[in-house]
Amino acid sequence: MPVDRNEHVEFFAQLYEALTSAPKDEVFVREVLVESGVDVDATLGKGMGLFADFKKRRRLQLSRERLERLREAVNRWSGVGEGTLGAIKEQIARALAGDQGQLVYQTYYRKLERVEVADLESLREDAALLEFVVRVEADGSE
Amino acid sequence: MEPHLRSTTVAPDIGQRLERSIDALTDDEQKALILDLTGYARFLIQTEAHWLPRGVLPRGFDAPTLALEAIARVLDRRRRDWDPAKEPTLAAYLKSVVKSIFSSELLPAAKRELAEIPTTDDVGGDRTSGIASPDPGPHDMVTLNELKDRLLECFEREEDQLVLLCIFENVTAPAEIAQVTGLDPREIYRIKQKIWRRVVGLRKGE
Repeated sequence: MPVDRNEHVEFFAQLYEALTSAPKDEVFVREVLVESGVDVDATLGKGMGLFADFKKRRRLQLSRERLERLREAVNRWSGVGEGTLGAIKEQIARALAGDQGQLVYQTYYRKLERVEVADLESLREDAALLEFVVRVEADGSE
Repeated sequence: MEPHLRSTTVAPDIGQRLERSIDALTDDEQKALILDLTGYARFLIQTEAHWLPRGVLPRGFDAPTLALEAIARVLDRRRRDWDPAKEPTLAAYLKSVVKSIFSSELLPAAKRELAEIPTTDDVGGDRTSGIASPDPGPHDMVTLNELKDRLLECFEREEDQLVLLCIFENVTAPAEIAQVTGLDPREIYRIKQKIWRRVVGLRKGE
């Protein structure tokens, strides 16, 4: 029967999983790496750096996307008055919550309780929009 | 070890799901993941490229750089081919990236490089002495069942063989192995270490 080399590779991959399946096996993996001349702490440091850069980029990207959603919601609002205030607050809360779920949306909606028509009129400029986000985030966090 | 995903109102696409999984990793989970991937890369090199001089792959890749390259490619969005049905956890996906870089890029390049080394030096000496051949050796030319038998033959103690048999049968959690074999979990831990070293030795032809 011809030998399937991929079968061997798969077998060794599964064997690795089996040999390192318990949290305690981390100690052994570290030991094997040190024995092989690997600088484990330096490797962990470099890897953590990659994750930190990723998280920083992601935070910035999420903030940009949120601001964009908020800007769209405010720009869509025609400013006709009290009658549409509830609807725009709902849209702003959705823009702030993004896809973080109903609970986060409700929290933002509650934070917007005291927002008046005059407050929304001033949100046409980016600086005011940013200031508004900071104020909403700070509300209830003190 | 695997982070939980936050509940969402809309089903996220794979890219979003991947980014959220990474974002939710705690520092300890990140460290465990890096260590696991480096160990995995080391095991792959030891078992599949045991013929490499000093275990160093082309472009200076070794176990840490291979593990970090896989992480970097996923974080930089150069890899977005996660199939959660095939790799149900982030760790499993990252390992598949390590394996793919290793077997489809580095291993073929290493074999090509070795084939290009002149076999003799200026004075006719053998330049390849001490370097094992990447060609399949006697342990590569056996079927999977024969390979398992050879591994079992490496151990004389019944306890060691029992643990290995459990692993062959996909009984891998220490608690399950303890239940099947009646062995103390500390003993199982020691036997697993012994198996790792013996597997690596066997691949080296020892």
